[in-house]
Amino acid sequence: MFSKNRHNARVTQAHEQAGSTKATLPVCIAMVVVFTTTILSLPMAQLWFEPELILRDMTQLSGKPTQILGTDDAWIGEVPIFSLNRRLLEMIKDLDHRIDNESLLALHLRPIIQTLLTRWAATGNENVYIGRRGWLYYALDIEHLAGPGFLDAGRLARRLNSGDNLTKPPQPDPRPALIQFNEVLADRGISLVILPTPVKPSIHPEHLTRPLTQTPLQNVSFARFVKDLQSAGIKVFDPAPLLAELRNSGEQTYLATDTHWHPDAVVAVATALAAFLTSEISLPEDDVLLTERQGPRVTNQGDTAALLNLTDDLVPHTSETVTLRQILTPALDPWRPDQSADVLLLGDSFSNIYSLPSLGWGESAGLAEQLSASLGRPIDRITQNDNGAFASRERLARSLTGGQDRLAGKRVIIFQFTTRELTHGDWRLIDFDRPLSGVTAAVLTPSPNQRMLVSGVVQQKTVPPRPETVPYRDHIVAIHLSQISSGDQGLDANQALIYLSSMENNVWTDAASLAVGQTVTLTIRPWREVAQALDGVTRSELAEGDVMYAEPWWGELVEP
Amino acid sequence: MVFSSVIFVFYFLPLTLSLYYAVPRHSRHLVLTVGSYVFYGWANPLFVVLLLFSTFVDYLCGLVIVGSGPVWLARLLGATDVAKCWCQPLQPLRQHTTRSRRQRLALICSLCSNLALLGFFKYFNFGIESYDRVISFVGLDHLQLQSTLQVTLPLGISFYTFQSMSYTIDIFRGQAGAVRQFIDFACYVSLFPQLVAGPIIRFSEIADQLRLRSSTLVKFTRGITFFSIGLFKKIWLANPCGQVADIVFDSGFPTALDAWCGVIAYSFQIYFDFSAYSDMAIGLGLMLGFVFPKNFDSPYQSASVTEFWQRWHISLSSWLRDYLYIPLGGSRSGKNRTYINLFVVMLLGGLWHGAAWTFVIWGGLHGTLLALERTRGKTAFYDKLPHPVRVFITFNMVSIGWVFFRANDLGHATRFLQSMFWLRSSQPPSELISGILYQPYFLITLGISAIVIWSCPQTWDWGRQLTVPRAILTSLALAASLALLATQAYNPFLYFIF
Repeated sequence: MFSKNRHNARVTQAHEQAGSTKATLPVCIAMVVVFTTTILSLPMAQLWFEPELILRDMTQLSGKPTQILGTDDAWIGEVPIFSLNRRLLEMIKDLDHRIDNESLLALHLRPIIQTLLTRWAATGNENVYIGRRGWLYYALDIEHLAGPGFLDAGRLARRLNSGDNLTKPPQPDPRPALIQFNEVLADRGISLVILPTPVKPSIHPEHLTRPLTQTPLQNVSFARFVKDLQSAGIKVFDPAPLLAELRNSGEQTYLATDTHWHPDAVVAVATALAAFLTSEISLPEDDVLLTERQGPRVTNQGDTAALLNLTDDLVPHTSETVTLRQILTPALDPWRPDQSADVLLLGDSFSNIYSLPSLGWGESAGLAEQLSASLGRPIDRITQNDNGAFASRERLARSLTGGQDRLAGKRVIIFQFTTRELTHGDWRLIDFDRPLSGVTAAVLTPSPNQRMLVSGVVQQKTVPPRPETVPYRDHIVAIHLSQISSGDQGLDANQALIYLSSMENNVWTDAASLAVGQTVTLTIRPWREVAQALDGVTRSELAEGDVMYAEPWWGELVEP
Repeated sequence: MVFSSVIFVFYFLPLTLSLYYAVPRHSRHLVLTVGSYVFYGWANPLFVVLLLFSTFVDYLCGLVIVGSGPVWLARLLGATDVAKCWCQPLQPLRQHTTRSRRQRLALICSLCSNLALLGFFKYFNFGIESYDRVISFVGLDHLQLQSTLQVTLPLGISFYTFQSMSYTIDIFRGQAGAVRQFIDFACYVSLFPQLVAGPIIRFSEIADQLRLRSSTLVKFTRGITFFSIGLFKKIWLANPCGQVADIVFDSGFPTALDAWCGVIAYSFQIYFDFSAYSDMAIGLGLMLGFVFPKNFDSPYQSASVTEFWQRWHISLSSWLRDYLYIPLGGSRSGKNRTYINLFVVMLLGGLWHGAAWTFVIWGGLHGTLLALERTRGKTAFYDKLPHPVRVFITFNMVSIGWVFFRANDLGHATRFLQSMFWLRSSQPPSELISGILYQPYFLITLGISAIVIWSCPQTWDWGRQLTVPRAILTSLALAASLALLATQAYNPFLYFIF
């Protein structure tokens, strides 16, 4: 390490070496031309064809930064230097993202390169691993299964300290949240049943590695997790053994190019879950009439395939066709959840698939529908794609605070979430005892069929995910709009909670880039008119203020 | 901002180069400084304040050391001859002469401010956690500090504080003259090619170039070669190797074979990642007219650990030698003292890399090996074996050391080493890892990496003679790198966190 050559000798040597470069003038000129042309071509083309990608949002430094959900960092907005810094950081991240993902290079070259890599090198990207026979695996699923135990003290501590300037660290241990939830429900005489839904490689690892054991793969902490919950009096229905059994009998229980389960697996699990509920919980007889319709076939590209971002000509090759067993009313209308039912299903995209049309896999054949049919009784449902660890619980709590008691008359709550959430989810404790919100008269409340063109200032806004970083394509943000005016029309209030589409088919909409303090114009109508179609779409909710409990509107941006 | 990003290659670089060459020569340092601050602030604009503070303090201290400080500061420090003409050139002090109290005070002020910055921002969390653990271990839980303050590590603070300190030390020793213009010094400290991940450029190495440097077509072309090859190494070799390493290190119970595969992949990743950064830094420097010294010299071809440290991160090891090892007494105070000095320097070198016990152990391990080899006249214990075998053994010893470097904590490192040596059984889900690792893409990448490490010429040698085929290959390397860059979201730079 400590040779006697002094550092100046190294500099001299470097100078000699740099100075002794042998290159002819034409070679030098050619290399400089190629290099400068290469590095100048993209910005020039970008500025020529799509300048707004670079230039938009450059004038919004004066706005307040977005508050990080669930933190007490509102003070940052009040201290000018921190506020400016946070806003700058948000702009930098946004610009980085746009340039990385929406530039001409990304839009046109990325699918070609990825297609070449997938075709010729059989490799995926940071989100997707390529298995055999066209099977694709979501990287986070593998990480969950093969990673260290999600209850390991070291891992929990690391996740607890994993926040940064723009994100809050998660609550990593799922047990306190579930035990608290169970206690809240027990106080109201309601039973809680946990339905940890296995990720695809738990059941179908055979396309990635050699045939494994007949039993499903689980994270090393899973058995301890189940035991701890059962010790706390929580009922756990683990469908993994059933799914593994089906796989062993030759059935496909998961989609090859998607993270979710096969419709036949949904039916099988719903049937078994119904039997479990009947044996474990006393439910009164019910005789709801439902009709089955076998046969609608749906073809769609899987969410994992979409994460690969291949060229369009490969979409048919990464699409699958499934046959659904739809559950309909006697009038052959699609099945609908019933808020007066005594069973409530909380769930994520595993509950939404084959039910929420925007997922592209058909409707009326999801977990709630099949369970309703198996139990022969109506079911209430609160589901949302992604964030299975907290999103549905949070929405339940909000409904309670907002004065809509979704727990009234319930006997059992089924809480479905993907096991991946045990490793990656945010198991935040939800306050179910929040006092009823006294939503003030200053908040605009929608009336049926109401339509308005309004302008206002964005007071709060939630943050959408980066496209192609999550296994779903759509997202909705919530904004708190203040100082609302509507032309000459007099309004009885000047604030509102408005939901806006922020990501559609893996592309950010203009609403994704709205900044706090920005003035916007939009058309609004009651959320409940579109809730049937959009309620299950991933949505990030406001974190504070009375407005978050107000009855929401559905908005569409007119300006900017 | 990282070099291997779309924003840097396609926006920051062309803009900075254009401005640099468009403005008059005397304004170039201003352009470089502003550009460098934008580059640095891209990670967090607030960090720029720290950089500016460190720069300002060292600039003032430098002026005071050479007796030309601002009047108010010099008076404050007790100087009497403060009214010396501001426009006089600042010549280096005479070496080996006694320094005044004021000069010593200025040096101490510079060292303390830099070390305080480094200590607080890099070691505060580590110090509190370690104290709490020790206190808890001895059963005095009520004395725990349990600070809720979580200090964020500013990017590259380890590099620029060392670099900045070298300025005041060099002029205190009389090895360089102080910089008169603040913008020149700010340019030196913040120079974006090597700001956040080195190589550590000492002031005395670059002082002449700050005053006078030439920008030639040949130099620019050589810079393109360095940059293109560096980018290629980063995108095509370091990143896939990093993916393999991450998959294995993040798994709970890897098999022995997987664990070895992971640690070798990490050895490749850290070398390609860091040497690629150095290549790109050297290349960017050349494009701007600067010549930076070599930072890597095929370290994995070393036949002993001593040789490894003569070839790995040369700018750091020589910094530690000149500013720590020699002041500690070096090898001048007897054999035992030499061994202790080596050990202490490597221990601190480990701590410089990261505020965690894993880095301390990594440094201690290398310090021990260096001291042991020193007992044998700087040769390895296996120096009688054939050269390829010695290289193989050295590489494996270094790789085992990397386990501590890469692991999340000591427990993780211990478990990983157990897996490597069949002392820990794997679990069924680990089979999934094998299914991913041994896919052709990763295996081919690891194979090519090995060939590049042990058979290919270094970037310095490759670019010395730019023939037409080499120019074409270099341009293809650039194009291939940029094409893959558009696809990859996985793109870390390991040394950014140090």
